[in-house]
Amino acid sequence: MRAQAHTLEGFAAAIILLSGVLFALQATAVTPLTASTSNQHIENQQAAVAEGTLAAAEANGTLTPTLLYWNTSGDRFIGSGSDGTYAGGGPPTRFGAALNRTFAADRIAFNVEVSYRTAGGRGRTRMVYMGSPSDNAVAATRTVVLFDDDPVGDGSGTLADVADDPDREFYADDTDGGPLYGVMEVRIVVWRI
Amino acid sequence: MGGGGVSDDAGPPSASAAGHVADCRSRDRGQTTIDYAVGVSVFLLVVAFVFAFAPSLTAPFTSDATDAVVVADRSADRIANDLLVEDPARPTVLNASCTGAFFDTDGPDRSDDCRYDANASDLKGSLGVISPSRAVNVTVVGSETTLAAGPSPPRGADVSVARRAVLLGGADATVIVRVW
Repeated sequence: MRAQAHTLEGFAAAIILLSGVLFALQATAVTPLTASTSNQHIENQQAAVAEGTLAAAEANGTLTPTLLYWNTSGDRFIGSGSDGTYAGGGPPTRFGAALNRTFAADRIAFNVEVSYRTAGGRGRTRMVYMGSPSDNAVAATRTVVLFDDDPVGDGSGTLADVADDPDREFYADDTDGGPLYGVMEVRIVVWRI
Repeated sequence: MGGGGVSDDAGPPSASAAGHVADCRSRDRGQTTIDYAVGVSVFLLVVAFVFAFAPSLTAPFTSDATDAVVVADRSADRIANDLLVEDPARPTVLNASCTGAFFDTDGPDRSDDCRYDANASDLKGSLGVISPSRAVNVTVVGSETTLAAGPSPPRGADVSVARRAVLLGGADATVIVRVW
């Protein structure tokens, strides 16, 4: 009896100590085991870099040609995979090369999608899809305006020509009767792999 | 508990242990020593674990590097969105000549065409880093050129890094700010 009491006493004391630690863990909002704290700085940096990449691409005029890099007869981005998106990296444009240099070279995965207004709400087309983002992914968006006389990347003419041709199709429809074609929102989602 | 001790009290002990067994006359004492050792060692292990674990509970708040992280982030923002840009309404688009003059510590300290008051010869001053114990290094890595200011981080230093993607002279570049 007394022997087992010693063992039980040891275990009971240990349990009391461990519940003290557990209580302290619950009382602290942020602990070393909280996943997002160690990543917060990295997430901030990735968000800022994604924002900067989009701003730089817009400033040197490489963002719009990438949005127009569309195969109007094949109904997909030029040179994309079987599901119509680029999977292994950015599109083969200058903006895609910038994405590859900025993110893919550092082993950071990214998705790029374009959203636009449609007759019934908002449409969305995936341009780069590297998979489902992780919980710690960050996003950056940029708005780009397309006009009716912007040339489509496959050389089939302007957006207005494509809209008039029943055999050809652009992923977004003309939303405006005037010279405006549509307002596209480019969204980059970035996460560590 | 221990298999060896179960029949201690019932069986006749060896001659050398006879005096000890005589003390343990009552049958309820069983394996006191072994159980005591088990209980105490479990308790001591847990005490050691708690003492080792408790300091790490406050580690995120006491680490020295937390302010360097913020300093690096703000400095990178200041460089990429204010000091070197052509127009603050278009952040991350750097003015190539101002950027070159900023990192050219032999040239004039300031120019009326550029947004900074002092170039990289007073790097910490132009970034607003007043702590004397902090050192800053700013590097702009372009596809062909690399511009740098500030000392190189010593080996083994606890360096916080902030990155920005910028446009420099029509080509993509990366601003890297190291603070330690």
